[in-house]
Amino acid sequence: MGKLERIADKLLGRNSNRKASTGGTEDGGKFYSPPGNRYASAERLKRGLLEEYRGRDLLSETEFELVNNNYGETLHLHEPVQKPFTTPNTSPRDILCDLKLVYGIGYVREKELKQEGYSTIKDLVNHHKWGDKAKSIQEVFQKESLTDAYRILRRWKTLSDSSFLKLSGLFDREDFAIVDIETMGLSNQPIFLLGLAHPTGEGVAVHQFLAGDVSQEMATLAQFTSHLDDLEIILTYNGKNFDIPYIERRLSYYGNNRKFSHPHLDLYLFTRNILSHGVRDCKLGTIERTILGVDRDLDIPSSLVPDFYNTYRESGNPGPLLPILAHNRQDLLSLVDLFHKLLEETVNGDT
Amino acid sequence: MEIREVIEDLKGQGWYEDQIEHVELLPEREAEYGEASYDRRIKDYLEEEDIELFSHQSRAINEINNGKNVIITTPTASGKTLAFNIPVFDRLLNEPDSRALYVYPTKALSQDQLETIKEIERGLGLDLNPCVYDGDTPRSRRPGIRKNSRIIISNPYGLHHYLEWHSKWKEFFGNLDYVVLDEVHSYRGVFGSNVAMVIRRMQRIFDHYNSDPQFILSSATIANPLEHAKNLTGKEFTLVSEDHSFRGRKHFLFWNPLRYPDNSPHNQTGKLVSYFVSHGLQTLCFTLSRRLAELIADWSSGYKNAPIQAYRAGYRPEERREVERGLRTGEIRGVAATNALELGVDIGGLDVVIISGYPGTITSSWQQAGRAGRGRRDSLVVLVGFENPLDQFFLKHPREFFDRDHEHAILDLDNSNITMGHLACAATELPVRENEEIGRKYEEEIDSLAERDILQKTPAGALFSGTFRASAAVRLDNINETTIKVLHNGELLETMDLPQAYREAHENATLLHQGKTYLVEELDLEREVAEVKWKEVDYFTQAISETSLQVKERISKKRKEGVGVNFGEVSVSEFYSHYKEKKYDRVIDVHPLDLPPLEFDTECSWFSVPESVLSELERRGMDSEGGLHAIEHAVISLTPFYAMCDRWDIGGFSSRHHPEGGGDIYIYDAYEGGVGIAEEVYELLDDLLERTLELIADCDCEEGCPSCIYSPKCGNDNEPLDKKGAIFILEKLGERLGFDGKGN
Repeated sequence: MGKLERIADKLLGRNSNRKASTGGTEDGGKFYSPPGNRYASAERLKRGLLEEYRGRDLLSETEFELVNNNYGETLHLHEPVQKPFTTPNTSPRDILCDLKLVYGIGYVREKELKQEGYSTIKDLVNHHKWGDKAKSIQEVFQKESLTDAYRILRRWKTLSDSSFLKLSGLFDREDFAIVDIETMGLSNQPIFLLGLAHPTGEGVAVHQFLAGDVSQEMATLAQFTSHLDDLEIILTYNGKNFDIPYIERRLSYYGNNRKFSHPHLDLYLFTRNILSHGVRDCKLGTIERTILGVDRDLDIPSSLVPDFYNTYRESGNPGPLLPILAHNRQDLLSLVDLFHKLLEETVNGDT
Repeated sequence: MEIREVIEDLKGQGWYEDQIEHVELLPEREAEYGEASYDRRIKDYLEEEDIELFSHQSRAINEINNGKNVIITTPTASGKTLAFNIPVFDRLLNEPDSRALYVYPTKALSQDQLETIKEIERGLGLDLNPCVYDGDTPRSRRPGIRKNSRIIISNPYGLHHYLEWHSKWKEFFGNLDYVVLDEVHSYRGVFGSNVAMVIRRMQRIFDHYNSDPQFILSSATIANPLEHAKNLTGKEFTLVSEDHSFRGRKHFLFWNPLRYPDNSPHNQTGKLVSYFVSHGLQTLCFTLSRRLAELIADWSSGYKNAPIQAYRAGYRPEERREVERGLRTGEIRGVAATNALELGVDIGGLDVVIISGYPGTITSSWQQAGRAGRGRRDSLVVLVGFENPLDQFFLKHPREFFDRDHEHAILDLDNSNITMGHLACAATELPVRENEEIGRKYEEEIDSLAERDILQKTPAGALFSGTFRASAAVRLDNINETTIKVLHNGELLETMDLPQAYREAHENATLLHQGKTYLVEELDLEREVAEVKWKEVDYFTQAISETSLQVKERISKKRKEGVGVNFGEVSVSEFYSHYKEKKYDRVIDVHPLDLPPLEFDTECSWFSVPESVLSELERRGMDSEGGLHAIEHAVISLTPFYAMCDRWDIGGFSSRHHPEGGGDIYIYDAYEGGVGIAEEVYELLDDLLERTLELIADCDCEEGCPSCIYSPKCGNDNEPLDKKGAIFILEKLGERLGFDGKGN
């Protein structure tokens, strides 16, 4: 082995051994607690899939198609799924009844105004003092300017406030983009799969944008982005902290400094507030099992996702990729159920 | 009392037995002042503060204003900080978007600099929101700092990790006009080379955001400042090195404690501190270890109600601030400190500096000596030499000390062990474009990383394709990452790294902290905690360790005429088997310790000396172990010039084998996993051994000296050493390997 290869191996090795050695003890269990069986069975699953799909290729085994754009080649899959998607039945009035959205109005003044008969911001439009401000707010709570309406709410409300769920009811159901990504690590490693589901007609269209290799990442991001740009509101699970900034960072890695300004419903934040009672943790898998009653039969621990993907990259065998694609698809569809559940608990429950 | 009289009076003390080996008088110097151009508000501020610029300061300011990258190497207390702060503030005053990044080698120095910057900010009535941004900065405060701070102070370790998040720093990096790197003499050897790579990665990010900040560097005096600045940053520099601040006369004494065997060197150090303090002289004593700082503070008597304070790493920031403030205001009359006070901490000038034990480098010695001298008054520096050949050599040969060159700062950007990790980091930050120079091109390295699927070469450049965090796989230095918390009644008393805890916080160790003695009840390695209780005992403890080296795997070997040369992986272990209880310097008891060895795996080169050579040497009455040990030291002293590293980056070990015969000399990398120095030694050994023979044989000394076989960091106090034995062995090796040390 050459000297440089040996150094490269040290880099790889140093990283995997690192955790055990820094503690100065042999106790690796201090840093992570692998439910040993899950890892072993995932390994068995991978070997089985490699065996099963030996000699086959992705394009013939799945509905993925090759796409070319300005940045090169990427893979795209489109699958219509029969699944209802409903949005809350809200009207602007449900949000505008909160007079505190007007700068200068606090709890006390709101109470006084309500007693005087001003029950929504719309009523305030002709008020001698608050009229101008009320008017400018009232105007944005309609179809064409919901992004501005979202910004006004952002000024006063935390992201887990139910007014955001109410706001989502003002969008067309076909404006929604449910997003979930799969990455090779947790900070600045490549993204290889971007899942995007959006309601169409009766059901939901699931799109998966896949980088067949790291070199296709930018083309894949571009393909995903062009779809997302047609949609109005993003719905994710922890996407406010993870998925969306991650995508933005990867774009900036390729010299594209764009940010996504879409209104964003991060269901993780609502779940933590509303559904976490009596639940062990707020991982999507846990919520699925305990609250939505979904049980995945073919799932792999997320920490092994990069390894499965790498096995696909190296071997070209689509087998190890299939559980990741299924996992990502299921995440998107579970978010639909979770969204409905949250609406039930909040907005729809009120009425 | 005048310093001169104090020295005379000292000679009359009961414990004076001609310990003063030498007095060097450094003459006083008049100040020269100069003019520089800057904003009127700065002019007002300087007048307000009654500051007149020395000519070296004004020259630095003018050079910086002319757009030059400047390195300032004037001594401690010559006003370096002001010289680079003025042009930075001048720019920030006049360009509302402009930002500046200050980089300090330690968190403590960053905090210190923050105070200084805030003072100037206040003085100028500005609102720049200067902040420290490092590992201690709470996550919630970070976005605000990146957005609003126009001066951010950080360290290389932090930047190494932050760079991959550059999109969050876009505004800061994109508007950056100055990068200030202070104390750059500490960026040398392997650590320095890593920092140089971080700086090159930073430069790529600057390019990406279209900024091109000017670099301002400051350093202690080193032999090669311009070369070092260029190697560190890849840029051309202008040097400001002449000191034009005024200086009073400085008396430099060499103190040999061996002339008075009744008291140990440490004890005499304590006496000197007490003596000077009682004569009204503010005194700072530098010691070689944290423990000695505490002991000397403890053993010296204070002045009236002001006891001698200790100062060292591991203290809580507020404790450090208090001592610094006390020194500045003069309330504190005496401090015993480790080299933590050697760097740029602002404590003002002192009357007396005692250097208790040669600190290992000329650069350090002068940094410490530079703390003495206030205004036009005479000042005093005392070097207390210890009982080892190196210290004693300097005491006996003062010219060797005073005329000696400062050390070179050496960097190596060709060591793939260092560069490849940073290339992976760089590719995580931005694709590495084809033919892109990160300092230089690294085609082969990139190919090898691609070979292992750490990078992937694409038309858009080499992309990071690993599943790990590249920055987590790269360590900038070899400081142990485990931090032990010392708890007293559940409250944090201080922190220390693992090796330090092995020495000072093992079970039943006495731990000194600000003059109080604590007894360690338990060292829990699992929880990384040492529990102590306060107990005044009249002894202190000292752990005894022994190093061993075990070859794990031989990677390559070559053999010539019975001399085997090897390269491979070794494990270096330090066993802490016992500790001593001591009263002053007398051992009163010894107890066993039950601690797992401190181990690290690294790479090593070793070569064998045939038994026939060693037995002949012994027959001639020389010491074979001393000969091998001396060669080990001399080889290590020359290695930095062959493998481009710092002496402190390598370790050595030599052993005379019984009964199987022969001897081995080992040179290993002092970095976990190895950093390629030992491998370089393997490649160049013949040449290196020939130079070693020349070095030792041509040295004029009798029995060894710092220029040949004395090591400033020998774990065995430079014993045994046999210069003639070393020459004998090297000549015999030369006969076999084909050199004679005379260039033939």
